[in-house]
Amino acid sequence: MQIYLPVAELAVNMFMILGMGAAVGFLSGMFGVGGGFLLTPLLIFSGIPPAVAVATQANQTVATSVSGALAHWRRRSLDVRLGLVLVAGGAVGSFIGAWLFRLLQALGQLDLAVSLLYVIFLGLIGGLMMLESARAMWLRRRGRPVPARRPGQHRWIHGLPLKVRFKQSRLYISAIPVVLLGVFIGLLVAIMGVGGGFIMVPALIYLLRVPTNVVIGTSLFQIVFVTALTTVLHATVTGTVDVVLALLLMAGGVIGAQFGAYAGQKLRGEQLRALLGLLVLSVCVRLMIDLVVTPDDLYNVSGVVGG
Amino acid sequence: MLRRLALLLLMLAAAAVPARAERVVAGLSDTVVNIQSNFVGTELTLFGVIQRDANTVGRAHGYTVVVTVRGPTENLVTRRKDRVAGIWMNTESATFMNVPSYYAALSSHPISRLPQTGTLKRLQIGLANLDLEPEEATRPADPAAFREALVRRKAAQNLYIEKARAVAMVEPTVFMTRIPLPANIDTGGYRANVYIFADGALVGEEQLGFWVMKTGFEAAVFDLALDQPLLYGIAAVILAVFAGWFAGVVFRRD
Repeated sequence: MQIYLPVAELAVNMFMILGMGAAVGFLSGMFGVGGGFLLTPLLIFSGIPPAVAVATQANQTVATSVSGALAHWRRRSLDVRLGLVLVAGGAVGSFIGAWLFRLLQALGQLDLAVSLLYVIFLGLIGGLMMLESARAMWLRRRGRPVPARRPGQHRWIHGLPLKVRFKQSRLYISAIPVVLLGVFIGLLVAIMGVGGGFIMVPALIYLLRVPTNVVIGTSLFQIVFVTALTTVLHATVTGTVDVVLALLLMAGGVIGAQFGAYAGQKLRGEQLRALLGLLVLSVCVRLMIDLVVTPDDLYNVSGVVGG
Repeated sequence: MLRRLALLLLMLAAAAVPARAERVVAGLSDTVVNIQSNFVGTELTLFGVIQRDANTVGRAHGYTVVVTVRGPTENLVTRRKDRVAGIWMNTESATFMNVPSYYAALSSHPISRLPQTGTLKRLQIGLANLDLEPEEATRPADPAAFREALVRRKAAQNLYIEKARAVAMVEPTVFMTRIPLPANIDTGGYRANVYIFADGALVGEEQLGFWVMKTGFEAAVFDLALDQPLLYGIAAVILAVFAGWFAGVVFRRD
């Protein structure tokens, strides 16, 4: 059944979009990830303009992160103060990101920039996941215990000024790296439409040494606010948020995630990570092929932006 | 719709005697096209009669009827991709201001068979005669290629159409055509021009108009997104928060 998307101004197959939302929701439930970094490329592959895909994805991410953030809020497993500093940085990043987005649109380089960013991030993350899980599986087969990761000390971060006490995280660190991390995530949200949890979580753990029990909750807390702000910014600055598309993705995603979470309990950690890594890499390869292969038509036509 | 058509045809047949030798009267099956959530494109029927006054003799070679339809104008950029460091990226571009977002040239005989006089160019009959000139400031080295690409991309989206034998002559002086309107058409005012050629000369013309509008939920969403973007953005966020909260309540596991 075709449904008309009022902002994208095109008709899409409703069940295809619902199915895509459900499939990515299933994966995100299974792997405990946001899924935006898979859904945005999928939307682009299916013919949604990249600008609409990114902005609408930011809107959808609000929905997927809210229920998680609420659960952590109830369990008090998040550091509100740390979260707020991250949000402040995220707001700045998201403003810069929306402005950059508009500039790239006007220059006709947005689609390329989005694809390139996805290739880089998906390639890096997929590759790391594959390596890590391959190593763990190999060690397990050899009968050796899988060593817990022991990060370095990162003393330089503790030497920075403007120190703030984050009670919940039992940290007394400079606000500078926290804000910078927030800015960086805000940029990613605005330009790629992803929540940025895949950067945020490792950065909080390894860089800022935030205790793991508050990491996920704090990350989700920040994602809710930054994706919400980004949605509003995209709606006002670039006009590319399609609520009908977002609703379809949310509906599919919510249902898919429930089954995914169930399936995820039946698989071992390394296998899960290897699977996800493989998936991420294949999306990356597909995007790369599209960039390198000679297009059918060298010319393309689009509306004048900021004319 | 058929009854309306018949009624209109009757009215047209009874219309007053023209000053010209030939006169064309035409009608559209609808003057408003509504875009709703299930809109997948539609067709409008245009029909008409060629009337001759009593003194005019019949045309030996019959008539050629051309119907051109133009949608609201838009500003477009055509970009060409070139390989830069192994990657295809947009390089040269040309801006076309005020080009029709939709254009159809439907005719009873190929437009190429009409004498290629200034008339076709002036009335922009046929894709080849469409007035598409890149802005001076963005004029590329090869403007013709960019113009051709614009027409080609638009044609691929079914937004630029040129079809011979799309106008059916029901009788030697009665014609009918279907105007195809795809799902991705722009909203706004559309203009249909009917041109009658006989022996290579333009002998009659008529202009009709229709509107393409979004209605219902789509219209509300679109208008809000356009006129009140801030409100629209906030509404989108509230919707997402509610959806997320609702999902959390329904599927709560702890």
